[in-house]
Amino acid sequence: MTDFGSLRTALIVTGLGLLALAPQPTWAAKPQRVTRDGQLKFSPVFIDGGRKLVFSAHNQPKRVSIIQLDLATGKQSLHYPIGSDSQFDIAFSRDRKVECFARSGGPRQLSLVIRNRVTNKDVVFDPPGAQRSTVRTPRFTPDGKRIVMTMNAPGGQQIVSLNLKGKDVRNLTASNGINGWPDISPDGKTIVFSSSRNGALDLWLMDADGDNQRPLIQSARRDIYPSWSPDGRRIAFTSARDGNQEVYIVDRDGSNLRRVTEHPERDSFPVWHPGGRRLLTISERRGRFDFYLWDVTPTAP
Amino acid sequence: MLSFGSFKTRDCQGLTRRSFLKASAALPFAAGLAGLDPQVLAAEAPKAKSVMLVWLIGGPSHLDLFDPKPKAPDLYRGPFAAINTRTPGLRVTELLPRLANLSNKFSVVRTNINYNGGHREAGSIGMTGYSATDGGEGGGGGPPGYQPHFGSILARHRARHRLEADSIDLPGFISLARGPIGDGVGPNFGYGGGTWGKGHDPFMFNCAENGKVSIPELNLLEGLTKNRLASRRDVLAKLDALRRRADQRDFAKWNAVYKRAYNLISSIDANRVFDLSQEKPATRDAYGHTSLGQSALLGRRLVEAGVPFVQVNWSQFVEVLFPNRDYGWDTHSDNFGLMADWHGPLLDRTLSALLEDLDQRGLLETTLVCCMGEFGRTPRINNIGSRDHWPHCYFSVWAGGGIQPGRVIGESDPNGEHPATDPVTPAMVGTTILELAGATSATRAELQVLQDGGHVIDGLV
Repeated sequence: MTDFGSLRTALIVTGLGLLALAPQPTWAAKPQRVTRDGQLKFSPVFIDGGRKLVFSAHNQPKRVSIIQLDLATGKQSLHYPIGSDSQFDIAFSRDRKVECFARSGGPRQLSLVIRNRVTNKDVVFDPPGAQRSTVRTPRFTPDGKRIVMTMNAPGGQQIVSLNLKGKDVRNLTASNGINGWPDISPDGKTIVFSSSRNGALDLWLMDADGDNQRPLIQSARRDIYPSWSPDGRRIAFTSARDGNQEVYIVDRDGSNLRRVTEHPERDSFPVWHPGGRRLLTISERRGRFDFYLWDVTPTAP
Repeated sequence: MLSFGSFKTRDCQGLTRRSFLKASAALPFAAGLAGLDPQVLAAEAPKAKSVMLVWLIGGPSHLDLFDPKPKAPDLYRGPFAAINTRTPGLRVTELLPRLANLSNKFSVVRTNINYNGGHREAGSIGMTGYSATDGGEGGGGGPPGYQPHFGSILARHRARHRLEADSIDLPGFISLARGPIGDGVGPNFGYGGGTWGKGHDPFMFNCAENGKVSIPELNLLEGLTKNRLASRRDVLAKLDALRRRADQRDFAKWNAVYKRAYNLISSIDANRVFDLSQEKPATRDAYGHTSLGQSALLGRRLVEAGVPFVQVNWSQFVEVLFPNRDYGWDTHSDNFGLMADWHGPLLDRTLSALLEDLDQRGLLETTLVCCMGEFGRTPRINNIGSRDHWPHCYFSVWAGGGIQPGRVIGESDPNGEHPATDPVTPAMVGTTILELAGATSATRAELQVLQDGGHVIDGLV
């Protein structure tokens, strides 16, 4: 049993005040720090209308676990209390009936577990090919019928989709270079992802079925972890274009690029608060990794 | 604060340095002291009083770190951009911006080679200069079995030819890791004393991300470590009870470790070294609050205290997506995601902090830092979009302790597959380390180690 005494965070934001935010006319000068545990953490997701945060953390010496953080109380708990394998990269269907995550310990190095919370049954998808095949960064389509994810399997690192039975696997990319980090637009029609097919890791767009692949924004350094805003107009992402990892936002047509973070340490893993006015990052500050919330200005309609 | 197993221990106020020496004379890490000849204590100071080996277990990708190939074909070059450094002719990938800005402090070898593609074997060769089967590089002639680690050699040498700065409280060879250095199959054979016996193994400590230091080997037998160790008498009583019920072989192994640990933690001076809270918060922050970062900081403290050889292992520190397996840099899958998120940035932060800290304290001049793994990774990206083992050409980073900084030694071919210039062998790595640390060819001949095939790496010193 994990001792959560050491996992409890000190929450700077208080209660639901976090959720009732007035529109901010400009970028916030300073973010709100959400946690103080400093652990290595990644892949955050908001649930319950932004009242809770679920993420992956190196919270044990030899394991990665999925942690749920109640933003009102600051209490952390294991999202899946049972299990001896590493579990991470969780995603939720909109109706919360189905969850999926990457899990180590199966016949492949990383398998995808599709967990139906209503029937309490799991479907395990083992990526094809070598024992070292893996899956990462799964996302549900808005209709909840399919999952889009990164897969390392014969054919390279590509983006695929599959149904909730772990069947009907469709290759959405089949290019040279590395493809990954997909995120699906709120209307389900477009996928933003990162690809190095032209050299550096740039952001690309494609239709939900993989057609019409076109570049969104390019730089000489890596652009990864795109995250679509709830209104579908903006995309936040991590970029090293200034020499250090910072978080940026760009409009969905590739215009209006602006930087959210500016710090000599790393900022990454941006995800939007459901209200669309705040952006969550995992930011390295003084050598520790914590969640920070940034006010961001919505694009004028 | 050093803890015994998972519990903090009490300083043994009554144990003097003299009594500690007396007690430790029979202990393996003090093997040289046991037969100490006072006349040989004053050895001429070598360029490197201490050595820090930052060991990147698993095999880091040379193309994605210190030997980028931006003009190589798609199937080779990877997605990370090459960036300039302060060193003419040296470009590294965008994952290492801090080290790029510090390149005037270190040199890079780009033509390391190994003779085996397996972690345990290559790790053994990389840390001893020999393979077990042929006893020497490229075949035959050497003694059978695994040769002693470079650190074991230096510790033995310094035990007989102690420098004034060398610690008498601390072991001569300390390895910082969560457990034995190896892969999912087992430990590297060449991690310690080898044919010299376990008495020349490194003493192993684990340093957690919060700075808590523990001794992983003390967890060999459950029970004892769950009791607060109040006095030697109490402990001996517990040991006697344990002896009656434990497997005799396990007990003997544990008992030897225990004796070493007990004497070590009984030393007030030694215990102080392990207390990272004595560091300024800004210093601890600079290294990063990861196990790797705090371990590197502990390594610096050990060097400062006069430990001749410290190995900081990238061992289950970061890439623990696969539980209970020590993959380290063994990124057969998702190489580029893991490198971008964790491996590259954390190495960049910790290694640059270590070099800067040593330099600011005036320790870099007398501390040889070497950072490398057992091999590199395939220049050609594999069929699942990642990189596999590649012993035919890889990198090592060198700084301080007699190293000429700001140099690039050797050149790999256009795709990074093979050395285009003279290769640097594991024996050359070991010879360079030992020569700079004072274990000269005469010493190596006397100890019958690293006599064949090795010479100091050209252009590095």
